[in-house]
Amino acid sequence: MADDSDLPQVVNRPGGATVGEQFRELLEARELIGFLAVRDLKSRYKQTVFGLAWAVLQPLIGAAVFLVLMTRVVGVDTDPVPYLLYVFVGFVAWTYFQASFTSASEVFTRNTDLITKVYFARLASPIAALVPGLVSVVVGLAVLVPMLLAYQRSPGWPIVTLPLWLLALFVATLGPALMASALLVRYRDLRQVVGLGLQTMLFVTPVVYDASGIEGGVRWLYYANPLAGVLAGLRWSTIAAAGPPTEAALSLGVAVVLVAVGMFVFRRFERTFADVI
Amino acid sequence: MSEPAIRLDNVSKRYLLGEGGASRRGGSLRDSVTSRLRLAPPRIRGEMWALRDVSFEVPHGQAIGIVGRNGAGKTTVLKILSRITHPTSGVATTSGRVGALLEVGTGFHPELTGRENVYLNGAILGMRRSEIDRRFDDIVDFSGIPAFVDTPVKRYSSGMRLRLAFSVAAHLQAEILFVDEVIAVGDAEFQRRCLQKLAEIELEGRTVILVSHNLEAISRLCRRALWIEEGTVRSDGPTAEVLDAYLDAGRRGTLERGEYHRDDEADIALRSIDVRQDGARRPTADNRRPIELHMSFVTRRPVADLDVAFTMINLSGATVLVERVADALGVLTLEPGVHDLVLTVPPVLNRGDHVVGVRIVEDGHLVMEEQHGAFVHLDGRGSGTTAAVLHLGEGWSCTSSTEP
Repeated sequence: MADDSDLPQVVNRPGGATVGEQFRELLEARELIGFLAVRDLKSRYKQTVFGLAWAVLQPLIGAAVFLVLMTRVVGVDTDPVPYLLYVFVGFVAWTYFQASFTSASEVFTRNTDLITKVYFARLASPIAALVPGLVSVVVGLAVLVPMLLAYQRSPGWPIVTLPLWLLALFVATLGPALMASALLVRYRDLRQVVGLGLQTMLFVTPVVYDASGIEGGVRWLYYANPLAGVLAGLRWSTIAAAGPPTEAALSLGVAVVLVAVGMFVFRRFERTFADVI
Repeated sequence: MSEPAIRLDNVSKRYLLGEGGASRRGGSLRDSVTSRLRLAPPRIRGEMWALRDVSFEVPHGQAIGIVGRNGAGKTTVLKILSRITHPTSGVATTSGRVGALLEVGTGFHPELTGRENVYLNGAILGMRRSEIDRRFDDIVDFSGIPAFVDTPVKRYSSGMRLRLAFSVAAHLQAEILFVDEVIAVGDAEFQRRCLQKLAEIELEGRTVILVSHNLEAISRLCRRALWIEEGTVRSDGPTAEVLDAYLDAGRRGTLERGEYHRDDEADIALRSIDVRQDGARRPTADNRRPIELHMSFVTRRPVADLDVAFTMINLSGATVLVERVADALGVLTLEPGVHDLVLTVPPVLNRGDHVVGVRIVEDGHLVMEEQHGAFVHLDGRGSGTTAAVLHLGEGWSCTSSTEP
C-alpha cells in the first residue's frame, strides 16, 4: 500500500452514518440486494411442492371465495368489469403487499446473525425482501391473460402503464416495510399490532369491493391509503376498469411520504440494532 | 503514510442493562410506553461499559493480536471497527477496504448449493460479483470440497460448511482484515490451513487484527499485541512482552479469585502451577541453569493409577516437551491431601517464550487440563532464532591433525 490517499476511509462515530454515506452504501449493495432476493426466491420454491403455482393459487383461492361470497350473498356490482377479474387483480396486489410486508418486517428478527456478525448496508435486507414477491405478481398477472380471453376483454392501451403501477405497488409497500423492520427489532410485541394493522388494511382497501361509489370528504380520506390508488391504477391498466380518479394522486403522494418517514425511522433505530437485538 | 490503517480515538461503548433501555434482549413496546407515560419506572438495571477510552493505531501492513479474558471487550473493538455497532463516544476510523470475519458462514442458506452460497456469502462480506467470478475456482480449491459444490449445503457436514465459509472469507480482497476466534473451530488440519492462510495474508502487506484465545497463533502471526482488560488497554507492545504480562496476571488472578478451587467438590483439583529457578518463582529465567516446573494439586479421596504430565510449548507453536510422571516414577497412588510435583528441566532449552501446561489423567481418563498454566521467558544464551527448540551451547569438539 504505497499510497493510501485513495483508500476508502470509513469513520464510525456515535451518531451513526450520515444520510449521504448511507445512500452510497446502499448503491454499493445493489448486487447484494439481488443475491439476497434470489436466495429468498430459490429457497422459497425449492422447498414447496407447488413451486411457482403457489404464487397463482393464493390469489386465485381468495378470488374464488369472494366471488361466491360477494356475488351470491352480498351482491356487489362491479359492472362493466366481471367481478372475478376485479377481485383477482385485487388479491394479486394484496397478496404481494401482505406477504412482502410481513417478510420484510421480520427480516432482522429472523436473521439476527446478519446484524450481530457482519456489517453491510442494512437497508439492503428489507428492500431485498420486497423483490421476490414481484415475481409472484408477474406470474399472477400472466394467469390473468386466459381469464381476459375467456371474458373477451382487452385492457387496451393503458396496459403500457402497468410497469409504473407495479413500481407504485413496490413503493407503497416499501415505506411501511422499512418502518416495521426497524421497529420490530426494538419492540418485539409490535408484531401483534402489525397483524391487527394488516387486517384493518384489508378492509379499508378496495380489494374485494368497488370504491368508486364512495362520495364526499370521506373519499379523500379513503384515498390517503396508498394501496387504494395503486389498485385503481392496476385495474385500469390490466382489466380495463375505469381510469384512476384524481384522488389516486394523493395515494401515490402518501406512498412517497411514507418511504421518507420509513427511511427516517429506519435510520434512527438502525444505530442500536446490534445492541438491542 | 499519513493515515494509519486503523485508528481509535477514545472509543467508549456503553450497554444499558435491563428491559426498558437498549437491553441486549430487545425491549417491548409495552415497557417503552409505560415508562414514557410514567406508569412504571423504566426497568433499567444499570449500565455496563464494554469499552472505556480505548485508543490505539495500527499502521498499514501490521498484524496485531488482541488478547483478554471473555467479556473484556475484544469483540466489541472489532464490532465497532467493522461498524456492526456504534461507539457511545469517541471515533473509530479505518482506511481501506475492511473485511470482518466474526463468524464464518453468516447468511449461508441450507437449501442453496455450495456454489450459490459462495456468491451470497461473498456478497454479504462485500465482494463484487465479478470478483467472486474471478476467484471462484481458488475458493473452491482451498475449501477442498470441489466435488460437492453443486450439492445443497444442508447435506454438508459441519466441517465442510466451515471450510467453504472460511475459504470465501479468506479470498476477500480487503486491505484490513478482522478475525475473531474463527480459527478456534474446526479440526486441527483446518486450523493449520487457516493459520497458514492468515500468514500469507499478512505477508501480502495487509493489515490484520486477530482476536483469539490461541496465544500460539497470535505470537506466530503478530509481532504486536494488545491486552484488553475490563474495557481498557492494559498493555500494548511486542507480542512476547504483552503475553508475558497477560499470562502472568491471568495465573495470579485465577489463583487469587480461587478459580482453581471452583470445583471444591471435585475429587482432584489443581491449586497452582509456576516456574522457578534458584528456589524462587520467576517469569524470566536464565537458560544456562536448570529451571523447575512446580505444580500443586489436591485429592479428596484415595486415588490409584494417576498420571500427571507437564507440557511446554514455545511461542513458535512447537511442542517443547511432554513429560509424564509415570515414565519416571510410575503411576501415582495417593492418599487424600495436597501434593506437590516438581520437574527439573536441564539447561538445554533455547531462548524465548514458553507456556507451561499440565494434564492429570486417572485410569486413562483426562480429569484436569490447564494448557496455559504458566509463562516463562528464557533469557541468556541462544541462537539468534527462537525457532529452534533446543540450545545446547556445549558438546562441541574439534580435533585437528596435519595432512599426512
